[in-house]
Formats: sequence, C-alpha cells, structure tokens
Amino acid sequence: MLDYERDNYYSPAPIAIVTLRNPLDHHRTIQVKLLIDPGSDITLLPKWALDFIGVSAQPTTYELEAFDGTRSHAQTVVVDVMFLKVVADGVVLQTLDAVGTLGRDILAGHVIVLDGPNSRWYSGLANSAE
Amino acid sequence: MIVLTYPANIEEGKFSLPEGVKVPASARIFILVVTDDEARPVVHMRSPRLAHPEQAKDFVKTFTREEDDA
Repeated sequence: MLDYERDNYYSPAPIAIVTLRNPLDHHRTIQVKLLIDPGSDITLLPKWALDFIGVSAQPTTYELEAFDGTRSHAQTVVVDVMFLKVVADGVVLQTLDAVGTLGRDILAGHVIVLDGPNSRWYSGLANSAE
Repeated sequence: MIVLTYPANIEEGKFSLPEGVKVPASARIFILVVTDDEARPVVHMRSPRLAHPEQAKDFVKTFTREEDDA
C-alpha cells in the first residue's frame, strides 16, 4: 500500500515504484516512479532511466494522441518492467519526461485498488501470473 | 536508490528547480547535461492513447511472477 504523492502534483496522484531491468544484463536495474494511469493505452518510460541501465530505443516509432488531440511520436524500447513481483516483458515506449506513465498494457497484469478517499493505492493478486 | 530528474534552469551560473518541485534537504543531487543531439521530438502528455488503436496488439505483455522485485 502506498500513499498518493502530493509534492509534485496539484491533485494527489497514485505513483508506483517500478524496477526497470536490462533484458540482456539482469544486473543492470533501476527503480523509478511511474504515474499509475489507467487512461493511458501504453506505458511510457523515462529515457534517463533507460540510459542508466544501458537500454537503447529502437528506430520504430508509434504515434500517440493526447486528450486535446495533440499528436507526438515515441520510440519503442524493449525492457523488463518489474512491478509488484511480476515481470512484464515486451515493447514499451520512451519519453523524455522526468516521470513516466504506467499504462494499461502493464496494469492489465495486476489488480490495483485506487482508494481515493484515503489517498492511497494497493495491489490485489496479479491475475496473469497466477 | 530512487533517481528522479527534473528540468532545471540555469542563470548566471546558478541552477534552480521549477516552481513547485520540492527536494529533501538531505538529497544527493547530480547534474545531467542534455546536449542538442538529444533534442528530438518528445512526448509530454498524460493519458496518451495510440493514434492507431489497432497497434495496441503490439504492446501485449508476457507476465511472469518473480520474487525479488520491488
């Protein structure tokens, strides 16, 4: 169970602490904070953290659209995302934002309870790993 | 160790953080210099969705339980 983060958000936000691991060198890991965002189709990981563990983006890009219609392109990256004792492997996207986003592609493997009135979140069982 | 980065301003040799960013007094701070060749188009958005929803299948994950993560 983690309290929502208040310091850097106008409205308290559910933040996950996630371990990123180089799939080719499991000794290279880093923990990052990601915004739990069920409204996001996909997960965006900060480039600075990927650089730290020696994972480089691939030339493939995907076009993204924000709620206001703004479109951007983001490069793909292959990395292990370790969250709540579950490793998700596959393609995610890279962002130069300081804080990334934990999207539905990875949240699909978890049961997450957002306890808004108490400004905290907690996990249930990871159904895909059972 | 948790590493967080924030954009910083530099003026007359002095660094400052954006308004609203709070850093603990005991925090260790490193300076990361980003050169122009990193200035590619970037994503600065929340709740992004794929402009082409059919591509969602490309992001399907394999989930494996592991005991030694965070």
